[in-house]
Amino acid sequence: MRDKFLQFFRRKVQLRIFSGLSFSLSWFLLFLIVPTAVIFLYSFWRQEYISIIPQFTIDNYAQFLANPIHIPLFLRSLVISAAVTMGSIGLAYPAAYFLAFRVRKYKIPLLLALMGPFWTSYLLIVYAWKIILGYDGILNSLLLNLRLVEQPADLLLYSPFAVIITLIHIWSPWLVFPLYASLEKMDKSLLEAAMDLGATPTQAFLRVTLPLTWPGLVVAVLFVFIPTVGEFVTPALVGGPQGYMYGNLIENYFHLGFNWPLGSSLAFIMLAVVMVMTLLLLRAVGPDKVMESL
Amino acid sequence: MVIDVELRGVTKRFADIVAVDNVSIQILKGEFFSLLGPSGCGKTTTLRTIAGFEDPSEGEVFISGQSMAGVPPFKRPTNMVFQHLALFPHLSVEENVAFGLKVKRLAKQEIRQRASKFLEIVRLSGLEKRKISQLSGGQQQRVAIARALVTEPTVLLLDEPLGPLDLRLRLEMQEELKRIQREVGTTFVYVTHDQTEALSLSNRVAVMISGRIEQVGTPLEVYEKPRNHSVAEFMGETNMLGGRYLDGAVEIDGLSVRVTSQASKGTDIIFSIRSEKISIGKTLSGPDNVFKGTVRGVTYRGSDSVYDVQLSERIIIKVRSTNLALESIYRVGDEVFVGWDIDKALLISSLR
Repeated sequence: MRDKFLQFFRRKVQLRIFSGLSFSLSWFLLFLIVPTAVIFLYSFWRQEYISIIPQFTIDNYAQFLANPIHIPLFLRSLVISAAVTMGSIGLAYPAAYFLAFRVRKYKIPLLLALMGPFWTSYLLIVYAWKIILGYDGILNSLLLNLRLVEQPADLLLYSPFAVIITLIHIWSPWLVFPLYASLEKMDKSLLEAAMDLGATPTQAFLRVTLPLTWPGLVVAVLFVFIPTVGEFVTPALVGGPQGYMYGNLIENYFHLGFNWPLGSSLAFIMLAVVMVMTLLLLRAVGPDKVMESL
Repeated sequence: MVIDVELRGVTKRFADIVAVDNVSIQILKGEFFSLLGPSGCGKTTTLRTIAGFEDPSEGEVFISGQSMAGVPPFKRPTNMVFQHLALFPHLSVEENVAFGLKVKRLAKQEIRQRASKFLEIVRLSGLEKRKISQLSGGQQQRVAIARALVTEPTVLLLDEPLGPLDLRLRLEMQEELKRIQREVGTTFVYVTHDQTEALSLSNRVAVMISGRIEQVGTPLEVYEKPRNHSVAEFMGETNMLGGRYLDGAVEIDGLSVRVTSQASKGTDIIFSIRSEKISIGKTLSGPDNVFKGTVRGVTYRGSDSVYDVQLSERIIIKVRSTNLALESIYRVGDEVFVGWDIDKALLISSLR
């Protein structure tokens, strides 16, 4: 009886260890490897009218190069994404710096307050910017009332500018966390040492704070750059023709064109480029340092 | 004599705590000056006030005769060796040392020359390219010292830099500090709670207790001639005895202790007698005061031992004795004689 119980118990433990391992493994498999593999597979198939023919071809990749709209749109996406990343860092770094170095009380409530935008729906934020930037929008009426413009500016909404502003609003709070973490971890006496040795506050920041929080900054860049390159909802709603992005192109191939193989190849090219950029960035900083900063 | 650093009535308050209380000191050029005191006595705050990291609530700091009021740390001719060193982890040994020169935008050639000169002074030549994390504790100390000296500050401030080192390394670094100071001739202001360190390194020592400077003097003066009760009690291992002075002797718990004193008859006095100035033996003749007692406690410390000897019902004194031979090491319960000459006892004028 006792032996049986022990045996049962042992089996249970083994099972748990095994299932614990296989859970994370299957999670990766199910939600990362399999979908990527499916897209990769589709990108080598062929489209005929509305049916997909599983026949190997590299025609889709040739089309990516042949169609003169693909590469410029891809580059535009990279530029918009880079602008969003830089703008977000510009907003988030000072906020994180302030929280880590100046605020003594209520750090946690303030950090939580920064999560405010997460509690609003993504679409709500985009529509809010439509209201602010629109022809009859808040910004235009403000400009009119201040007599800065004669008539409402129609460049605000439906432009890359609108896409960038909206995406910065959505993503910059995300950045505060990795930046705050690396700033908070920094030994503050290093700044005293720098100042003591004759460094002005600006020099101390550039020579000590910035290099030491560099890994956190890289994490922050990845946090924003990766998801925004493939962005298609925001450009569809506020982008207009000039704000049309690569993500919209992929979405259209899947949706309207019903050309899944071509859409897949475009998606895979984007994935590959972003992945290479990520690896290069991680290598430049040192992967273990980036892991540390998390 | 040129005064490098002068504090005039410096007081520093944090909320309602007075960390530094009306401190006035003058530190001479080329001097090795120590601020000695128990932890929390305000010595580090005093040092940080000189460096410019704290603004005095009252009073003023002068360096080379210039008032430092409103002068930020990066414009002061002082450099600090921090308690936890604060070396830059992302820079190599050489880059750490060159930091102060780089922010002053000196020519590359000169930076390289001066960095290597000071790395040589602290004997780290050959380790230029190492990372800080690859150095031993003692080597890190040397980098911190070189980094602080390389810009040739008027004053070098050292905030218990040897604290985290083990005893052997600490003694070695003490020697090194003395040598480096002799070589560069910079004024050193050294903060420590370790009396041996302060006494062996310094030209002059300021004893600081609860925010006040109690005494400033040469190591010999502050140890042998403590000005008051607090200094006498803080420095070394001492026995405080107090009683009514009558005709060349003090009556304490039935013992008549002979003292040299100018005190007037019938007044209460306290005197201090250091543990190492008392002789102990199975037999004892010679000292002016000899008392019979019983050993109540022994602390064996290798080169010497400290005994708690009970002389009367209420008087137990500490006696330190060099362990010359096995026979001169006593055990608890041994009957011994202890004694001292009257000029070894120090009269502490103030009764607390």
